[in-house]
Amino acid sequence: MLISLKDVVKIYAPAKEQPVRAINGLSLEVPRGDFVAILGRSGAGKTTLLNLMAGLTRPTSGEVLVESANLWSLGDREQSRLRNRKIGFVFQFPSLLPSLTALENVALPNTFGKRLAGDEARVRAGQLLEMVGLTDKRNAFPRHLSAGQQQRVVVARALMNQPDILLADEATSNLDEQTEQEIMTLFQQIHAETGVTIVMVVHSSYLVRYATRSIQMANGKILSGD
Amino acid sequence: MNLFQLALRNISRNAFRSWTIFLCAFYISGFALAMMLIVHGAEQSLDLANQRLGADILVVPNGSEQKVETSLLMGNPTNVWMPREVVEKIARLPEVESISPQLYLATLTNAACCSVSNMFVIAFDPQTDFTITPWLEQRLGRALNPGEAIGGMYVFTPPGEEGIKIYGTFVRLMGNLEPTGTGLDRALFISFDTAYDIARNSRTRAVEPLQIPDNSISAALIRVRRGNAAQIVSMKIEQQIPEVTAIDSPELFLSYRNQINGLAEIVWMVLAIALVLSIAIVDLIFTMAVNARRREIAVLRALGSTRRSIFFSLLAEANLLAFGGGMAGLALSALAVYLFRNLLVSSLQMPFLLPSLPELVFVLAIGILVVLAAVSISVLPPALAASRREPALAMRE
Amino acid sequence: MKAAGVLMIALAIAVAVVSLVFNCQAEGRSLALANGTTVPMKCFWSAMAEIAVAVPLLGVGGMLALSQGRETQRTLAVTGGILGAFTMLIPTVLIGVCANPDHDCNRIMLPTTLMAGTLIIAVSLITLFISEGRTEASAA
Repeated sequence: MLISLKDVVKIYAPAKEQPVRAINGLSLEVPRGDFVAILGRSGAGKTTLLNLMAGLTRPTSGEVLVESANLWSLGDREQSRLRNRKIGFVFQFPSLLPSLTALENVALPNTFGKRLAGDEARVRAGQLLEMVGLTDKRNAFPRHLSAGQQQRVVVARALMNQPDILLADEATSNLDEQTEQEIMTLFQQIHAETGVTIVMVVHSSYLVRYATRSIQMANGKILSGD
Repeated sequence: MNLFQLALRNISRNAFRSWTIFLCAFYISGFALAMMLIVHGAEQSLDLANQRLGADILVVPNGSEQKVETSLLMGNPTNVWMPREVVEKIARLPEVESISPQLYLATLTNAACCSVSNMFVIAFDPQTDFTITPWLEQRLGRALNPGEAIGGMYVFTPPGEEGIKIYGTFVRLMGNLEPTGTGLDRALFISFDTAYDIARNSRTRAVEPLQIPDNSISAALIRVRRGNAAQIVSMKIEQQIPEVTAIDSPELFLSYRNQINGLAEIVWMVLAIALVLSIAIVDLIFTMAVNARRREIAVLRALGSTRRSIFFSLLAEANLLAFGGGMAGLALSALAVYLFRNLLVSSLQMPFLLPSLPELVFVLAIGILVVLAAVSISVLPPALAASRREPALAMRE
Repeated sequence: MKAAGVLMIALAIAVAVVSLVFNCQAEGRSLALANGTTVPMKCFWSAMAEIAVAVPLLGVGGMLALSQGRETQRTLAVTGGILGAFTMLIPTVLIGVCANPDHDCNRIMLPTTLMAGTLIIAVSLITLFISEGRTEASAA
């Protein structure tokens, strides 16, 4: 199993506020090569689930395993290396670094992992930009790209280190309908071509059709899943 | 792209934050160096002036201590006299190894008979002198002949003239002494014989004759025998000859030393306040900048950056700016102090000598280290907080 | 580039004003010749030459503040740098100032022009560096 969550509970306890139980005893297994769509209302715990899978937040209790390795038994260095090499992340908000060009943004994960030499990294980033149809924008800064183009660059960046898992958090929620379809088709194409495991939070039920299976969440639990 | 290049890109992106840190470092380092150079330069200059006099005790007429000190330090001529018999009286003291009298003279102001207006002229007795004569033996290999002179660093023969005209008599400049940063750099040294010749000639050659009262001297320099304290000998001289004041070497230029110490205290206080304020400002600006970038930092963590590399890249950004600002401040400050040194001396009314190159390099290195340390302290709390913040929380905030 | 242009204008004004006010002729000092006539000291001629350099420098600064084109900015930076070098060379090598260290030309005019010249060259080099960098970035 690529990702396993066992009886995971996540409680946010902001200062001077009531604690929020975002994930409530959830267990989930995602096999290699899966394309999972997670659906649910706002506050259902979808984003927290994704963050738990990526090790971006510590579970209050329970275990998060990636390739059988408990994420929270690893030190910061090992956990960061695992995130860098095995997980690609597509965020809901604009997440490109404004001071870097599209090409440099795509190559950024290599800065932390150093798997490829500088020239090789640039070639790989160029190939990924070509894959997402933005070859002509390689030297453009994010402010000169449309929201759809920016999100394509983010997808390319997520694939830079050839990850095993691609986590996407409502990657199309800020885009118009046509661009949304283009991005979703891109995910489908990536899944088909590379076999990467995709876990994607979607904001509308009609987007579920792009995935191979879907999960419905409510109140930090899985309501149903096929 | 590496972490260093990433830091450089971030610097160019946030102009307000970058300029604030740059300017704080620029101001602190520039101000600190300028003040350090001035205070240190004044202290060094006083020490050198003491060395140049080469005496354990300076004897001057009662009430003229301040005038003589000011003349020696600032080069303003003075006219003080005491009976020559003082020399014989002091020489009889068993603690005194040697004593040499000096005459303090001045050229006339804006008169054709003098090449240089209001120049401080010191006449020494070659028979007994122990301050100028060793230098002459070393450089000239002989004593000064009548009509010859030695100048301080800034004394020169006017272009096209055969010598320096003093009360209508030309004296030949045989060389210049090393700089001391004091009035001695603008003084002319001649022998007693030359001084009396000039005075004699001046009656016919100058608009006003040079007056040297008979059997009078302006000051006497004393070396005490080994094993005797200069302070005790000074007291003994003053007891035996009440009309003179004996200033022992550590007490010489004391009022100037006190003035410099006072200035140094104020400078250190202002510097400490400026340093604390800068640390607070940089901390505030950096905290704001890091907060504005919390999502960006969370993204970097999601892409595989460790806490450690986040912390060090933030620290590197601040230190790069501090280094740039600090170096610019130090360079500009050193250049300004070097170029405006003459103006500094005349406006502060303090002696001043530039440090040697190794000293300057040492001070510059200390300056840049202080700036880097101050900026590191400022950015330490926000950089630590940013690197420790949970990425998921940073994205939600 | 606006900041560089404004800085260059300020430095040009400083050079001109200081040269005009702090030369020995302005202080009422001059050289008396044997025939009784007086002629200005050499710091006066240095001051006049400095003013002659400051005027085109003002123009360069103004144009730099307003210019948009990279090529223009580079040309202006090089011109500014050359004028900055002249600002330094006039009172030191080309003409000089009085020998007396107590004269204002030595205490104020010489250090100010040397300082301003150094800063003008620094501003020109930074301008050149930035405009080169931008050209490369836009070409990439």
